[in-house]
Amino acid sequence: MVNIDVTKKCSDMVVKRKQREGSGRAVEGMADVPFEGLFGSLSQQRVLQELVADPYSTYTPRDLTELTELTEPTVREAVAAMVRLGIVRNISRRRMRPVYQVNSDSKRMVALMFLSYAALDDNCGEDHLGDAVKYYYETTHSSYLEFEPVGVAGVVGDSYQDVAGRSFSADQRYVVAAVGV
Amino acid sequence: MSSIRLHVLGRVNYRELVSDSVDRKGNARPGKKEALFVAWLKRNSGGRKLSVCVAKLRQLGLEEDTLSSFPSGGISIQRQYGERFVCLEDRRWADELAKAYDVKVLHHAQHFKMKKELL
Repeated sequence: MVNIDVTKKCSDMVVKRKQREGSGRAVEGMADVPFEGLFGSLSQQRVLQELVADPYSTYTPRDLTELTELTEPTVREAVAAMVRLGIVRNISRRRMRPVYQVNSDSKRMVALMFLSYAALDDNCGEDHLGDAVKYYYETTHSSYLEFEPVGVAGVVGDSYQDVAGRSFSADQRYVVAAVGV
Repeated sequence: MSSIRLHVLGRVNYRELVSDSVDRKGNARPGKKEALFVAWLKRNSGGRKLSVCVAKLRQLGLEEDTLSSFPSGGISIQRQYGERFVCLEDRRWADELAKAYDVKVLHHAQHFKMKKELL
């Protein structure tokens, strides 16, 4: 009788655990997990740090094993999670020899790069983060700055100074109207 | 008009700063792979174990001697708790080098370049 009870309890526990795991899988990649599970296990964080530190290179699992000092199965597991999240992709055609590269379209990766500069700033009391943000803005938005004022001046037929001056006076009028002076 | 455009952009062409292969002191200027290594070291809080740095150099296709080829005052090798660490001393130099080869911050415009390199 006692044995039957213990067996039943054990089977109930197994069922409950399976249900928990099942529900965990269902909410995977949703808002339930902080940062969509980006900061998973410690090994995952180590692999992520390596990728953030040099997102321009390609990595084999062996490379990551050497750089993170983790075992290969752990690295493969961590990378698989990142592939699922879409921040890394396998660019190899051979299934048994994967080669990973950071997805440069991933904004999370850019944000994590800034985080690495922020960590350095906190340690050294310097402003590398501000510099990095400025550089990022310059490289991504330089095209807008380059043609916008010139294009407007060309269409209207006025010089850039005239256009700039007019918009400045319009701004001034708007401020005066808003303040009510 | 061109002067206005320059004023609006107000950017330094960092690539021009490394156009020569030799600097004033006669040292060989670091290439893109060296810049990648220095940027990697910087994003790793400015220091990693020597063994890991050697693995990284190997991954980038560089020799271990590369560490000694960097300009003096750039990086140093220090011993701590019986382990040798590579430390980045001159972070400003590392920054300029990373900017020169456009490896400072990842941005989507680099996506096509990276793809092209792989083909």
